Amino acid sequence: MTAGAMSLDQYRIDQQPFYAPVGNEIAYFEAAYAERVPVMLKGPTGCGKTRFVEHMAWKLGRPLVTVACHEDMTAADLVGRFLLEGGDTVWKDGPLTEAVRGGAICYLDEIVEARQDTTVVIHPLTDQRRALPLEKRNELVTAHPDFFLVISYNPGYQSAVKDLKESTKQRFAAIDFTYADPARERAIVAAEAGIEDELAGRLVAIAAASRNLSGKGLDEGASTRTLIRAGRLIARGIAPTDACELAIVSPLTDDADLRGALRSAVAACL
Amino acid sequence: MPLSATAEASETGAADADPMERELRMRPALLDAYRAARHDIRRHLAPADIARWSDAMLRLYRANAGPALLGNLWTLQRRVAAHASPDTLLSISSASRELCLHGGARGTAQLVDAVGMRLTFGDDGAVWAQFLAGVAALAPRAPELAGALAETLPALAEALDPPDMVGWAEDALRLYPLDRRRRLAYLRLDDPMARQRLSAHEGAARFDAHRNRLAYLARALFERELQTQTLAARGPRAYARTRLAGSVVLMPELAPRLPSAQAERFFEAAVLHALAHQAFTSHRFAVGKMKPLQLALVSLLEDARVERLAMQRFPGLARLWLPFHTARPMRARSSGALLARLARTLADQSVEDDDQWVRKGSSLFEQAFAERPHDQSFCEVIVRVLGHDLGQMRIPFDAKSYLVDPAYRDDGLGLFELDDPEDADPDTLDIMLDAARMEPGRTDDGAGDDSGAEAARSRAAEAEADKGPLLGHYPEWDHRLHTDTMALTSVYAEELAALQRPHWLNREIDARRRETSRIGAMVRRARMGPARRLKKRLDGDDLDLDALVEMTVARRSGETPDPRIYTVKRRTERNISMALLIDTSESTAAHVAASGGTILQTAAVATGLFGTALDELGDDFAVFTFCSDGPDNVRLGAVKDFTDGFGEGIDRLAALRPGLSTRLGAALRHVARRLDARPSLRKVMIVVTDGEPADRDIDDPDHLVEDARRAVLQARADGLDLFCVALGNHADRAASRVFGRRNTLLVERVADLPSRLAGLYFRLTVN
Repeated sequence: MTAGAMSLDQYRIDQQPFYAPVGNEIAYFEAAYAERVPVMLKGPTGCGKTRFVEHMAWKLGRPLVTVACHEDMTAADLVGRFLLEGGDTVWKDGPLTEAVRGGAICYLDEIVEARQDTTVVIHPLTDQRRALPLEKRNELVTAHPDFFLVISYNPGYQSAVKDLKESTKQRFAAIDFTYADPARERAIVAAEAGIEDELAGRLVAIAAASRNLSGKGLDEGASTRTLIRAGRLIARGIAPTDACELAIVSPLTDDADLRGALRSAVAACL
Repeated sequence: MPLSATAEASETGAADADPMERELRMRPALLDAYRAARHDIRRHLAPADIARWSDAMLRLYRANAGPALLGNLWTLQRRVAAHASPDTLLSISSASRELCLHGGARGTAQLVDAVGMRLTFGDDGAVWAQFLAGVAALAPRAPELAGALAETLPALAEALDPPDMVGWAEDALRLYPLDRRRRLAYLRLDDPMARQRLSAHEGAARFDAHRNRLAYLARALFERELQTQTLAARGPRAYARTRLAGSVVLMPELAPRLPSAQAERFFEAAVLHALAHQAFTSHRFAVGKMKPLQLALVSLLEDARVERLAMQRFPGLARLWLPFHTARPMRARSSGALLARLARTLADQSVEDDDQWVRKGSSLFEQAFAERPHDQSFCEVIVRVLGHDLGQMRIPFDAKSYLVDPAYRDDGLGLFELDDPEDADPDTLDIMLDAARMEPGRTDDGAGDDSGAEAARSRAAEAEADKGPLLGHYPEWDHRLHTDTMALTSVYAEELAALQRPHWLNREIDARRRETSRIGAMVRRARMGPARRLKKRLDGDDLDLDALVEMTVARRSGETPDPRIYTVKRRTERNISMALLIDTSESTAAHVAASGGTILQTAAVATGLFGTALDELGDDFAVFTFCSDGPDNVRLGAVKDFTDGFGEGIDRLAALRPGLSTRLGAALRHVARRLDARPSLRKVMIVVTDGEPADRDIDDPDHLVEDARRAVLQARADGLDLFCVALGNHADRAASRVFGRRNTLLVERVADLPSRLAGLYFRLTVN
């Protein structure tokens, strides 16, 4: 029963992920990393939270272990469990433990999706203890000096049922994310989707129109990601109106009036 | 063979090829008319189409079409022939034949004549061909249709487009499928339903149906809340254009006559134009000494300026607005035409107008706009020049008859401010005062603030006293108009009497103790709460990895392994509110064969048993009853409200009496609102009904079904679970349309209801 010497090489990011900063978030993140203050990224869906973490992992030269959280996730899914291998019982580290041992950045994506009793396991890692107790193995894993914890969550659809515990929230420094300003978003969409700048500008105008409806009909407006999707479809030869219908209008809502309004907005912007 | 025929035949060389000629040879007058018609139509048709046309005429003649019908038809066809496609002509012919076969030549002749009167110059007849074909399709079921429609056509045409007229006529067949006399009354507009349906069809082209969508669009594009008021079409002057009144857009109640298919674009164009003003017209123009012509010109240039600015931001708006510019260069130089051409030239820079004045206006505007697009005062400067030129050309301007072109634009008067009435030009003053006098109809921002709603409200106020406490007003969905702003329902509290114990229900429940305890056990087993993964189970859906490993470890070390190695997903905590809604309409008085009691009594027994079990369990639940007597009197009784105990509820259940109708949607909306306010995690409504919704004022069988379906969808969107228990044979047909097949439980043997009801509750809980 030994913890296999793991290699985090597979989690390394070799190529620079494209990221256009919106504000000072890179400096904030670097400072938080230097002090090992865990970071929470808040912001609407598809505004670049995950991409930002990838970019920072590349920039800081750390491997990045990403865990997409979900409702059924248990503490064992994060920490690790005993498995049977041939005739032996083998301990297998979970992704969090791997990151803790190997000094990676561990990114818990959409942490509110996980149950609150699951997220409690990260508490010892986020204060001065910087340690992860493995009850089942009776082991206390002290975090690698480079280990860093990042979580993300989307305040847009938090409900009473899905929210972070106060005790969890207050362990993090929060960086607020919003969509990039129109000019920058336009550059991002043009670069990522490989379309002309002018067309990207029109897509950004459509997104701005849909974001005006967020909270007033729509839960959230079109994200930068949906714009990039639409842009890629257009680059593939789909007519712009159809691409927007596919990637923006249809996914956003099923309400007939809203759809009608979005379609008209698309038509007005193109 | 008469001489003339020979001459014509030899002239055309077609007599032998045209069997209609042979057919008509004994009727020289008709033959001459036929030849004249053929002669005219031939100029517009290819030879092959002429042959088809002649053939159609022959078939029509053989269907007993008399000279009147043929004559009217030929007149009609000659008028449209220049612009019509061959298919249109043929379709008119074959529709006439169908009509003639089913309704006789006389009525058909009248209808064809009436259609001919409605033709406009240059009409291609396509919509009328469609209209005749539509009427012809209905003719087998209503032979009197053609003649009756011929009479009403002028009145109908005021309100409806030809395709909508067919829809209106079809309603007559739907309303009175077997009663020819009432159908005739309807078609002659004598029946009250006829007017009602007329305004319903007319409504398709009304603003109401588009308001929500456009409000969203206003937010999306301009970040503005769209405020609209309806301008009544009645009154001293019918308003044909929108008007701006500060941040409010006044919409004429009846849009300029347009097919309902175009209404969507029209209202969008009008609203976006108004929003462009709100966004870019920074202040009102002072009237000063301007004459009406100058007013019109200033607003024309300002319209062009704000649209230009809006199009810079949203280039796609050009595609929306341009098609409405229908002015084309022509020789006539009326002021209205010139203004419309200037508007078009300014809107579409690719257009070259050859008129000197229009070009001058355009170049002045372009120059000024290029220099200072955000300065609206340049409009006034240009107008001084243009207005003067128009005066020099001695082209009169009639302020009274002037209508802004294109039609979606506002009438411009909202852009001006009367600074000094003493000083103003008398004609201008007239117009401005007229505009100010105009009373806005009413605010339309809130839902349901419309004529129907208002009427319902005032009726409700009158009747308040004897109907008991008012619980609320709820909109009713009109599936034809696609709006819920046209009608309002009022829900009143029904005071339910209670029977003195002991009574029949009491005894019945006592006699069925075993059933009660069985239902109680079932309900207790039902688990309603958030899904939880339970580990270490003896059986389940998934292996519990951790338990599995422990078991293996235990086996290896020679211990007795723990066999609980499964995980299972279960709802654990009990956190539920339930509302039971019982239909007590007249139809529930029917007897149930097996037990001898009525449907309502059986429902009462079932509710009594079920409620007793729930009450013992301490569940949050309520039992309501409903029936209705028209939209303004929906009765909702509380057998047990959420906070009451159930004991007295049984006494009220025992006293329930069937009566009145089933307006399901209104009752659903009210109970959904009550249920939604409960703090529980899961909210379930079970409706017990015996058939489809109906009420005394509704003839359209789909209306209340669609309304209830809408209410169900809205409640589901709010996170409520709705189910229906349909009682009696085939009762699920209507119910499954409202609630969906999966959420409808058919109980054919009504005596089974008690156990089925509890079974449903159970089913809801374990999946």
